[in-house]
Amino acid sequence: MWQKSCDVWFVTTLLAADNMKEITQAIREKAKLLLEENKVKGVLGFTPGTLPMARRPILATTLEQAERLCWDEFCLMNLANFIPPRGQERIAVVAKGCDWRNLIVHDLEGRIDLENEIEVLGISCKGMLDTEKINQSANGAERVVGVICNGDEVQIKLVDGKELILEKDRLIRQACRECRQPTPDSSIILNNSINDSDKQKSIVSEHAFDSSDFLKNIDLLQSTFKECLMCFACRDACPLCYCDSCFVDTEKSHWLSHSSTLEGLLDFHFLRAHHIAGRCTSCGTCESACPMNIPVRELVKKLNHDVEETTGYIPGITKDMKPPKSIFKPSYHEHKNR
Amino acid sequence: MRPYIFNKSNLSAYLKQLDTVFEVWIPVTENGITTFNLFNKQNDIDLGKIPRTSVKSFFLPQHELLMEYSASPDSIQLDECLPSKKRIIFGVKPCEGRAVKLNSQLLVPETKYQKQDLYFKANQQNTILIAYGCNQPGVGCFCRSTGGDPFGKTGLDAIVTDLGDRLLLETTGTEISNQLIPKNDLNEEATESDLTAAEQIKKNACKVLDERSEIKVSKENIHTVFDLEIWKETAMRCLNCGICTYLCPTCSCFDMMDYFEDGKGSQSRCWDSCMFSLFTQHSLGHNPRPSKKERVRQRFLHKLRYYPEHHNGEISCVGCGRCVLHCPVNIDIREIADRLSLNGGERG
Repeated sequence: MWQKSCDVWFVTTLLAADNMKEITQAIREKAKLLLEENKVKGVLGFTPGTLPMARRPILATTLEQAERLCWDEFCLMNLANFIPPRGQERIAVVAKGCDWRNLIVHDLEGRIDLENEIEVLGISCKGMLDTEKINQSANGAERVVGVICNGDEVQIKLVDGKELILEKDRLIRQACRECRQPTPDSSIILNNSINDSDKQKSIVSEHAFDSSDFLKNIDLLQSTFKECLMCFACRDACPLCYCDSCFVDTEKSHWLSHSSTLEGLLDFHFLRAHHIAGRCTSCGTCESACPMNIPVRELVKKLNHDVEETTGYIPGITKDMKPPKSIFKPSYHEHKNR
Repeated sequence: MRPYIFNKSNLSAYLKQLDTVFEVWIPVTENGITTFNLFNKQNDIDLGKIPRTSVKSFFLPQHELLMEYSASPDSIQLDECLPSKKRIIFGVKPCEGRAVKLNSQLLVPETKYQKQDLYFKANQQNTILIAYGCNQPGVGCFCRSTGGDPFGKTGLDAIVTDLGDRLLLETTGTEISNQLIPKNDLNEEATESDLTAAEQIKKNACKVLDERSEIKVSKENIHTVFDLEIWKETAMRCLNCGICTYLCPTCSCFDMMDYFEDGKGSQSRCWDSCMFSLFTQHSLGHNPRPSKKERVRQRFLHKLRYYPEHHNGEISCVGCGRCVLHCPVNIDIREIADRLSLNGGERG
């Protein structure tokens, strides 16, 4: 009953291009099959939300819910973040490359049992779109009433009835441009895999944080993080921030002041960056979640690069060794060189 | 008193007039995000957009120093850091004026048995709000459903209506609003036809909102329903981040912080969020809201049920749509209110 009256908010639901419609159809069919055969308790995927670009994570447990699953260029959140820890009933998860890489890290770290408890419905991903960029082109998130992705173009309908046509390629998320494995290695891939043989090389962006002495550049740090609200959305959207008790949330031994003074927020970003260094798969969900458009991921990139140089470990891609930081000993470096 | 009218190109001249007496803040877009910045020659005013952070920051700053003190064995010196700067925030949304009023009801109650928040009160006395009416309500907007209006004057000192090439400035009759009247050659009263044009713009904006919104959020419709499936569903995807509460103009929870070192100390407060687990963590370890479900439920029931119970049925939401637009997992208060009210209806 509620849905009927809520239809009014579902302004634009699925306006995806044909390719995306096919993927959506494939997800729905596979999901229904798995549920009917009782192979999984639920299918974790996306469903359209109440705004043109909003896709919400949902654990579809009924056939009716499975029929509402969708796929397009706005499935921004990382679904690995919504998977219950191991020891629960078997579920299926719709995974693009970055979701898959996080599943691999979760599996290596022992949080989930990828082989026995998770069924991965892989999707070879051409990149998600940066909604903030679309909002900026539209002159405000509140002005976007509809978005249609059509081949290489993105057509945006505005609140005043006007239309904008943007080049899709320019709207792709920065994290997706730098993606090193857009296609999962899972046994099921629901669409035609895109060619990604040249992707696995290490990418170092030209961001200023990549230089080793960026810590000295206090102006850069200040201008990058000054708008941070300390809402912790970056942490909460991050699949790898799954600690039961985060340093942010401890009171007896108060690690972090929640005041938004520059020291407070740099404390937070540095501590978090160090905690996910060598684990971060660069999925970019932190940046998509950030309400202030802060390039949160940049701080980790340099650290990640260092870990890769030292140990050869690429988070989410290397499968045959534990994340270096979880087995780190002071002698690690010497050991490797021997 | 008739409203004043001046050309849009004279806006900067008007702001300069205000700038001679007050500190003037205007919405400015930087790196794609619109926030309030101090008015100066370098920055361009960006009216019409919904600023990312609300005007709440001026009344209840994210970090606010309350007092500083120095103590020695025989004396204590205390400095109450009460704000005293007079400032104008130009270009706020009319809904934000209502938000200030709602927060004021909570933090500066007028009954003599309740304590008043002196800092909020001082900020309120020192802050002048000039709104920019919403000719074109955004997709997340639903002020009409919450008892507001795209050109409402509650909590404001003046409101500007955009007539295309000219701006109509209407003061609301508050004590200080006389000082906002344009001076010299900008002082021109609006004609009858200007007023008709403004009236038409207001009508159109209301029509857009009324057509779109079927949901009437009201106290009568929302029953305190604790075991509904909707809380579980919402909590499943809720990240428990602070975006909704921090962007919200009416969320006003804060945490206190004390610092003391070498005989000198300070007390300050900063925003806190009911979405955080630490928010209700007791010192002995018990947490009455142990999981996301309880925390999500609290946020919505507080806005839609508890607050109206104590404040004559007014809900603690002004329909600005910030939480709707910026929630990473699309938790939509309109949908929740709708589901709650229908459930209430079913229960009788």
